[in-house]
Amino acid sequence: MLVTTDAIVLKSMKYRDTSRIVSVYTRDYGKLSVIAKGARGPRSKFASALEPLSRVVLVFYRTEHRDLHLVSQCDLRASYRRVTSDLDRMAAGLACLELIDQTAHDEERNDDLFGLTEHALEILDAGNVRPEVVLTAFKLRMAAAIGFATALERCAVCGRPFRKGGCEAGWFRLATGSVMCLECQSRSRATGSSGGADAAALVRLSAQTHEALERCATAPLENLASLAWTTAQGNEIHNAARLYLHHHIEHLRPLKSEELLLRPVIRSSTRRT
Amino acid sequence: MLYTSESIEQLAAAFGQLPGIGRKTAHRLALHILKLPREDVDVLARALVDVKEKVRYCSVCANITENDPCAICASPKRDRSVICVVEEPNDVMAIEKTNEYRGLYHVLGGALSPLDGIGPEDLRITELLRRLETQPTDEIILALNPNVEGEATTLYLTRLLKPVGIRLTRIARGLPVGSDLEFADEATLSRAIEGRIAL
Repeated sequence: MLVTTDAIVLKSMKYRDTSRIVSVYTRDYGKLSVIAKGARGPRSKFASALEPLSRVVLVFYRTEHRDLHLVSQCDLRASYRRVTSDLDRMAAGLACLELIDQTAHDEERNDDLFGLTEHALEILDAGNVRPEVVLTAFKLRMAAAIGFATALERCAVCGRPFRKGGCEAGWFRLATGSVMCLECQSRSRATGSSGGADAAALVRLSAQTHEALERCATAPLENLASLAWTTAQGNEIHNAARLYLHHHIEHLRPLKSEELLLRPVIRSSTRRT
Repeated sequence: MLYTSESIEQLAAAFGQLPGIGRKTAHRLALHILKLPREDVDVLARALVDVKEKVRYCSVCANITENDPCAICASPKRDRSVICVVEEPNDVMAIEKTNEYRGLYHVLGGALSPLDGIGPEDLRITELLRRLETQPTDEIILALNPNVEGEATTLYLTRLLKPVGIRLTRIARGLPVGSDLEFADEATLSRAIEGRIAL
């Protein structure tokens, strides 16, 4: 059956002399593998549309019980040029795609996740929000889209809000995605109860880190332009988000693209004077 | 069930491991070998063994060669102040065919591809840096493939090499000679417009 759907290209690999096998995340059919015959030829009709970080309209022959579907047509809708022309933005964009590739199940539709991915790439392309902020927001929202939403607004034990003179954060509880305030944590430590949380699954958050995480999880992405953090806060945020995803998603591999974003480039001693 | 012989099946299986060779073609090649004169088969077998025994990577540019350093690195006629960085030895051959470039090369051995787990440590980037410490260089040309992996590698190398103070350039991207504008895809055309030159 010939079907048409919006898709985001996750990765592409060479197949034989002229073809490509492409992993795509589609709006209507979830993650799929498709084969584009002749895609590497100099006069290929698919041309640049099958490069990772492209949003396309894909027409393909969908065959039941097959792992690989044949591409009939592929039209480029957005190539996110500004993402692919800046190393940090590209690394953040590729890290989002890596996460989708690792977490999305084959042929399982998830409108929220598709919309989130599309929006995150648009925001990265617009360039107003820092790449590391977009990536952190993407991680927390992706967790929500697959059923592990965080609840960072108020203390999970006493119920008081953290902002506007409320209690102070706190400890991030990986199992529930909630936060326990300092007061409740010290009370639970004094009484010997853990407030329902395994001590090993708690991550200490400073007030600034908590606020940044909460904004990343809830504020519209385009409103995060003013959000920035220091290296120490960045490490804390990165650690909390990483541990949260690893707690809920089995066999999640470290993100190579994120390493590219976070790790300084190889030091060179060849600087000329 | 074995329709031919064990030797032919083994040969077909060996051909089948080559890129672009399917099961049928592998069998056809194996049966063709059977028909060849003994001397031709000896030449083919010797050539296969020689490739493995004699060909190695140049210790300077990492291009494939039988003599170290390779003919390009050893040539006194080449411009030693320019290094063209490419992904694979095939790219050296492609650029050499143009007869336009007279500088040296550096073969990275691939491109950054985080989605496939290929990071900077998997490429010959530290070798390039070491080379720049000893070899006076005026210009580095980044001639990597115009895809996401090539672009990521170009951006990474730019960030790495900018502070070194050597002139960094990249090859132009745009329309192939002899093609038609109306059939060019949006990405290629927009890059061609972006890379336009003054006349």
